[in-house]
Amino acid sequence: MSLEKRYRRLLAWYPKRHRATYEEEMVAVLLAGSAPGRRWPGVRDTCDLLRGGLAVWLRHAGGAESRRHWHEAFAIATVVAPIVLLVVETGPALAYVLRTLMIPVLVPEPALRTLAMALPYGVVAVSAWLGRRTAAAVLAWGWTVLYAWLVSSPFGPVPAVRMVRDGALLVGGGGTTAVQLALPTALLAMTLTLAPWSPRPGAGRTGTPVRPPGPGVGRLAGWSAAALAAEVASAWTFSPWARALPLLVPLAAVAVSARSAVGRRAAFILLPFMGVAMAWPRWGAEPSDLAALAALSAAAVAVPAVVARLAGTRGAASGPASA
Amino acid sequence: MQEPTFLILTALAAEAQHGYGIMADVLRMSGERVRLRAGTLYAALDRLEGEGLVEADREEVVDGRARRYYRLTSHGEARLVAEAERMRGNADAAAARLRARLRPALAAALGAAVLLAPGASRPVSAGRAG
Repeated sequence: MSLEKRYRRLLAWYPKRHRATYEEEMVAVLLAGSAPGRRWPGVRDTCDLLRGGLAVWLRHAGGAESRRHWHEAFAIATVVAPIVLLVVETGPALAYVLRTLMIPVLVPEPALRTLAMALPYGVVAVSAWLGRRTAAAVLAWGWTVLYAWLVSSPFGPVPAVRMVRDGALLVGGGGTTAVQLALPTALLAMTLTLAPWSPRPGAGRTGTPVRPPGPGVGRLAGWSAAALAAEVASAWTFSPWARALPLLVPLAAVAVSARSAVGRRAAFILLPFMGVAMAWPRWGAEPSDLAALAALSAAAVAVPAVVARLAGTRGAASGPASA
Repeated sequence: MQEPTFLILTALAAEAQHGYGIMADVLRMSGERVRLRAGTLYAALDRLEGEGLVEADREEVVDGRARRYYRLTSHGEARLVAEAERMRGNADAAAARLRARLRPALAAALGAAVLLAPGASRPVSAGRAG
């Protein structure tokens, strides 16, 4: 491999937009500054390129364009998050219904209860998609409180259908706590509350919040259907590999979305939420772990919201070109 | 403003220069003290272009490679002038304080000289003069 190729490999660490403008020049400057016959980049040049790349990444992450990306990412995340909970709740219920059809001994009532408990997530998703984020947040907080009360109350309409290890379906709480069950809903409500608004140019003065362009219906429906199918399949099949099915769909979605700046940000926003929502039967068995996990995931939800609010504010004040 | 940024703006103050030219100029201006490398220079140029202090001037092709020249914008010029004024003010303040610090020492030295001089009778008042 030539010295030029090795320099280009180091420059691959820079943001795409920066590379498009400066890569050729940087390679020319680096080659002009290196001793004849040299085959490897020097240690100082390598460190300097890595440090420079980090500085460029950080600057771009706080720029005006990044601000727009963050707002669009939040528009996507606030719709995807309730859909994930809808799928996580509906999947086992559908699998249970399928089994009820085959084994007449099982009664369909728990499945209906589970479906009823999944309904609020659908309402939240539609509200968020329509841009009524305040209404969606109020609904989500209300449902968090009600849900926690329902699962902790001995007379509530729970037990619903839950999926446990090895794809087995269980009717009942399975020893889980109210906090454990209500945490994903609480994180959803937090995401909706903290999500920044992106005012339309001109509309900002009146203070009317306007929804930034959200995700397409077709794409959302496709991914939701795939996730639901994976949930049902994992509950239906007893082979060990089926357990990984519900994880494959979000992983594929992340792989697809990672190609765009908005997609990467949306994945980052959803990361703590997905971790809690998808893996809920496996974590937080110890109350002390649960408290730490709840605090950690709440902090992780707040970080992108803070970043999105800060992004672009410094650039707008410092010069005419960045306004 | 950090020193590399100040030196990059200074390098572009008189005429437009390409990346390698800026690096060589900064090295010369700083008495070979500040050696800019490509990573630092282009991170700074990206930032300075973003802030509207520097802009692309023209492109030339040398040995089959594109070479872009950068120039200072009017906004960049104003910032450099302000920074140079600020630095001059600081340097003047430092020089004035150093002169004030030297003055009593000088007076004391003068007083000692008077004391040692033949026929000196009232050394105390001479010592208080500073």
